[in-house]
Amino acid sequence: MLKYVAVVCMLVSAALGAEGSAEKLLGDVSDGSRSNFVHLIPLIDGQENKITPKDEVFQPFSMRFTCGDCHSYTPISKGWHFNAAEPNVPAGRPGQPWILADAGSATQLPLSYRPWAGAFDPNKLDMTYWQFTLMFARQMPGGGVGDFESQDPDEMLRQFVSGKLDINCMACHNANPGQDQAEYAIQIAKQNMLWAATASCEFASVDGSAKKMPDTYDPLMPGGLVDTKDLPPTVTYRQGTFDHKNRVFTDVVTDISPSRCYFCHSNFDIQGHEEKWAKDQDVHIAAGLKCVDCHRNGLDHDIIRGYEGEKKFSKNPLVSVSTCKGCHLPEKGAKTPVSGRFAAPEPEHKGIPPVHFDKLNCTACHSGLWPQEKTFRTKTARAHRLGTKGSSKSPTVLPHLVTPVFAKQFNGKIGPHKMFWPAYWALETEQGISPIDMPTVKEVTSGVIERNIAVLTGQWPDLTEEDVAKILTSLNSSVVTEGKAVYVAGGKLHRLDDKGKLTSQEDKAADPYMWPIAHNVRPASQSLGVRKCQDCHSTDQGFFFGDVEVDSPIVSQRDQTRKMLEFEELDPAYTKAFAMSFVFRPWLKIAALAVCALIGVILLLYGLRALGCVLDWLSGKQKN
Amino acid sequence: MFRTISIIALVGAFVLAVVAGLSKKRGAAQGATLKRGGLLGLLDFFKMPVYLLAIVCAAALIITGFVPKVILGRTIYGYWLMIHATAAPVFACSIAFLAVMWAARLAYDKGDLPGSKSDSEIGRFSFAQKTLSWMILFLALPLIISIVLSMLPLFGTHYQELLLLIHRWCAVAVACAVIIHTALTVRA
Repeated sequence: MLKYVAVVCMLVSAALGAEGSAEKLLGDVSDGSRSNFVHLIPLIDGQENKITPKDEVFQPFSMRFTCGDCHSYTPISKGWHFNAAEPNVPAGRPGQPWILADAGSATQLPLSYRPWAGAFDPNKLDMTYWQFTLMFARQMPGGGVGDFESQDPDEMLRQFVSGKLDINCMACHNANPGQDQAEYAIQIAKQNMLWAATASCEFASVDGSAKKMPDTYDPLMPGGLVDTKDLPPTVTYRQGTFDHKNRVFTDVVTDISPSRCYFCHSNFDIQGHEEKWAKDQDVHIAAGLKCVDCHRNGLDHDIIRGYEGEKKFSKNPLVSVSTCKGCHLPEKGAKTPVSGRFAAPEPEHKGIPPVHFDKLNCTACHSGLWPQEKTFRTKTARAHRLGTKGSSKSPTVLPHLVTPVFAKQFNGKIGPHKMFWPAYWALETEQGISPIDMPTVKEVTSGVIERNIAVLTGQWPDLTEEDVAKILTSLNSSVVTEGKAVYVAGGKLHRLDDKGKLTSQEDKAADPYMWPIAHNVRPASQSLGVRKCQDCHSTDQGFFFGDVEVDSPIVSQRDQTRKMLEFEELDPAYTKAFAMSFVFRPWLKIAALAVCALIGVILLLYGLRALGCVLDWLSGKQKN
Repeated sequence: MFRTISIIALVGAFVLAVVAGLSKKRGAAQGATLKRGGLLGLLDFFKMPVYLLAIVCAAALIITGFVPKVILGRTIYGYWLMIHATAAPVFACSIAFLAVMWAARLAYDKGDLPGSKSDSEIGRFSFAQKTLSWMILFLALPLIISIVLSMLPLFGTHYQELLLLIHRWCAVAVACAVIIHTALTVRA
């Protein structure tokens, strides 16, 4: 027995040793030079062959092998941008989910492989990795679920034709203005997974579509047995791409331009009819910083998200100093001063009582839109395909996100959020509520909702309560074998009672999904409280008393609102009374100062008299 | 440290107050005061109600100020803060009024010397009462000014914290003085 234990121990230690001593590649560790390394490199395809201009048929270059020649691919693939579906990765603070928005079935559903409260795991909705990739990889940097092997036989065939989605290093690291992520999104739509990264580069273009190729198509033998009139995916490298040694100059950088980040991380707040040109950028960008100055990572791509308390979830050594406080406030008790990085000014917060810092995150006063009577609609790149070709410019297109919603965060402090009200058809069983798969939903709802019109406009269909009842009846009779079909929308759970009548009630399953925001950061002169306390502490100000839009496809439930206070988990009576007390605050100050003046005069008067007595006594003049 | 010292100080003040309350009565009741003419004579009528109001407000301030910070270990906010902020100006105005009305009688004189028997004179404050009254008035200045300044857009976070610190320590001293002063007054 001991022998076996010894053998197992040896094997384990050997395996650990092997992992620990994994060979570092040329580009894994920097030599410390601040200058940018010029990437004049050979392009290598998926079969590890160098691509040359003399090749009969061009293959797309593989990031795994081209970049992976000098940079270890595996540790990079574990980074935050790629590890959503990896088990045992700490989820951290809830973030923006992927949103399955389908106007034709009156659905907007938060999806995430990370176990964020309120978001649904696509696996539990019978959505395969392949389907998820087709739907959302347009604004992903490759890798992750796009690199996973499909388990479905049909999808395996398609995945063989399309290839898998390597990490697209160039999506972030290519500084050339010709890097075209919109083209990348088109390639995803064409199921050209193997070609997408190549097509997005400035020195290559790709024609044809793997989607139109038969299951028998072999991308490694593109000239082979293809019985189709459609063009298979074909790469063309532009003239002058290769030098005399068949190397290609790629403008790869680590100080990535915000423009690269913006393709997936743009925000567009719909205020009035303002367009992009009329809106300012984040104050940090305006000051000359880049996203990656704060959101940093090493080879492991464990990028800093930048919120307070992230230290619990991240091993990034800079995580605790890469927050607002990390740069802007001196760290008490630090051995060496660390604040003031990037010339960050230390805020004075004149006249702001320190209790605010116990109750509010920095973002509450400094980030997002200035709160007004009602929340605004907003768009994000990932939710609304911003920056991709053919994305809808309509302000009413789904999903309907609202902001700013001030709510308590996991650290107990209030901060601004983006938010939306989930709408989906679900099954209610004893285990809880789980969404019904989309193909079924689309099929059943198409009998009631004018699907084509809804999909064309991208807006909610005008659902009546009778429509909802009809769809639920249809789902109950045709699909549901256990439990009951329900519809979640507008913060309410709708179900049919025993008499077949639609009832609705508030339910936890219908709670809005919200995620904290930090950008855009406004200048200090536009932060809440900069003018007066009544920027927030007034009954007509949005921070406490604003209305939060409740969005619903059901016509009778539209134009409803909830009070911001509900999300801040504050006592309405107290908050109102406290806000009203600020009317008397100037009087209080005047009265207090007058009292001080009066007491001061008395003290001075009698103090002088006492002093006179003391002086008399000292000079021997005292009579009594 | 603030919690420990303030607990010791307040408990000490209560013990002293109880001891003072149980000790032999030496002075006369303050209600029986000397008659004055003019406006002050008119205002004499309000002295006792205002004094009682000041005591009630002081009690409210001590409870709402020290319970959250010292016992619950958190910053004052919510209804605690509202009651505190409501009672504070009333207390401040009350002690200003009482200072005007009683200042003359709070002046030290020969009768305050050790061995003097003038303590039993009608309307006369004892040496301890006078000292505590002056102490309350003197400490009321930094107590009030510190909090009023923190409401004005003049000082940043560092100085805001300093002002709060001043407010807290002055509050401990004033609270102790008020407790003992009240006991002495009740005894008289």
